Amino acid sequence: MKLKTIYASLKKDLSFIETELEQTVNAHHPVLRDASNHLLKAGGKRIRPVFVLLSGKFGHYNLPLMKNVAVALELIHMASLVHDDVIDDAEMRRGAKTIKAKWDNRVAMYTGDYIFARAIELVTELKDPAANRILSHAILEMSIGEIEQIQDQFNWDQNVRDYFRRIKRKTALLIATSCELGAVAAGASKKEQLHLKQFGYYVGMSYQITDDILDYTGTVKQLGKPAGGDLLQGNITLPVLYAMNQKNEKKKIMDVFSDEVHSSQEQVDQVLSIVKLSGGIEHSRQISDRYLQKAFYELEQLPASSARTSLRQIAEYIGKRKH
Amino acid sequence: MLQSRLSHSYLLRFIDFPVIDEEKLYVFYGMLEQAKLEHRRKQDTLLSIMLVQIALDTHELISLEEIDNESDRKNRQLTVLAGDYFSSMYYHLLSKWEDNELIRTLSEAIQEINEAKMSFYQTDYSAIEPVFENLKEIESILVRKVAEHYGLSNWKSFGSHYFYMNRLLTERKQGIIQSGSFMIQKIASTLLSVKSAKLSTNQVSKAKIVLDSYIAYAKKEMDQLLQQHSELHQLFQERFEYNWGMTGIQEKKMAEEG
Repeated sequence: MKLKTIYASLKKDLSFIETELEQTVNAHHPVLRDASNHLLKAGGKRIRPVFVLLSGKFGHYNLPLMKNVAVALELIHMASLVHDDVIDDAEMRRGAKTIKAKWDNRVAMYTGDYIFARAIELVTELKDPAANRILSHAILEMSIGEIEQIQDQFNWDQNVRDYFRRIKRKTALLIATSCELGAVAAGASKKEQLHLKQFGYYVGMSYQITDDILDYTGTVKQLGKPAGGDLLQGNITLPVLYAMNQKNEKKKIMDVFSDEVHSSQEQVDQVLSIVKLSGGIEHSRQISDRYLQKAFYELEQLPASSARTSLRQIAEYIGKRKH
Repeated sequence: MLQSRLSHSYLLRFIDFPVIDEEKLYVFYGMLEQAKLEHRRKQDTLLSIMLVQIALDTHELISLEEIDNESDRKNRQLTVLAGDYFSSMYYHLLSKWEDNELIRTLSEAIQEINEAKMSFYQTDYSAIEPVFENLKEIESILVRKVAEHYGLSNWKSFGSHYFYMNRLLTERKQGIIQSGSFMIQKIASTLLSVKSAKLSTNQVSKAKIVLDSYIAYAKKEMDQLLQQHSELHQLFQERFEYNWGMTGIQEKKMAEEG
């Protein structure tokens, strides 16, 4: 099932959120405004607002209130992408020039900081002080996860536990927070808040593992860049970690990357084939699927509803997606 | 306390320890003393406000140049992340106190500061006055917002002037060390229509004369403010005179030039 079909039930609300996103980043300075809009217009799956809205359906769904959380979560994600592009020195994102490429690093830093602050301001509109506690914890962990990712680049001694901790911080926590805050904003019960948070966490883990698999299996058309981009940057993900645990494979991989500073596409291609032959892709798919099953289990603890069905469909899409 | 909170062992292997602006720390401390917060809350609030400033300052360090070596690349990556980390810490700290109102005030301040910075960076000024006005705005926003938040009206214009004055002195110091700071560059591009990144000695000298004249004017305003506010006079006169003395600027000579 396509994401668009799953989103159909939320079409009107999502369109409202899209308008709110545009209005929220309507800065006074034209460059700040253009840079923020540039990123918004590049699109994206808007998966975080969708999780906020669907989770809100388990409480007293009130769109004017939910929108603050939905918009804030998407803006936090956006702000982190703007800064990530400076970190990765990236020229393109979602088929459009990055802010740092269209303007420069300084404009990207100001824009990211502005959007991030705007998002936090929105969350202060919520009455429940738990909202800030939950979100600030997720953001702090997210930034530590990003630091760890740089720390672990080309670190061949890391293990699977390091990887899981990193992707939890980097991706899963913000998705878990989207679900939890949606439930908090709508005043859902504590039990439902917890199941939704757990659901978001498991889906987030599966989402990131799938992302990491796609970096090995995706085509240029699907990814918008050649496969192996993570490896080229020294990011060691689950497929390669699995391969490294097989006899002799770790040494082979490390030999290929003996000159880590000047790693080339050719080296990456060599490692890609080692990983594929080792069964690393299959193993990662199984792990991703195991997380999805856990996510489904959490959903089953919630009352049956169309929102629950939609959450399941999104989770299934995430596990099978090709880009 | 501030130093221990800022330490993140891995970050500090690649980036310099963040500069803590002691003058700002002193001013915000004085303000929070007057706001009469409970001791631990005052500590965390002061830390949060300083973290906002440090996060913003850290992101100012991101350069525009292409990077071609691994160490510089890592330094830039971690500088971006360090700013984000400090920023998330202020939010986390205040959310523990459930200080929703201050979180809002500080996030509004960050937005306004980035608007003002973008304006300073992107505007091709046709006159010099707005360059300094914009700089003053950048320096004033945080202290003004905090003063308004706690109803400390006497600190509002004093803090703004004090930070502005210190920023001008820092720019002057950097201009001497590096033969041309970003501010000197901005003055040169506005007054002398110089577009190149490399300024001649003569151009730097001309820009410095303009900067010094604004410093002299800011000093006069600062003296007047200290006269008006006896309670702040007591706290700051000695400190201000000491810092001024350290710059080695001859006030009389500068006034003549200005």
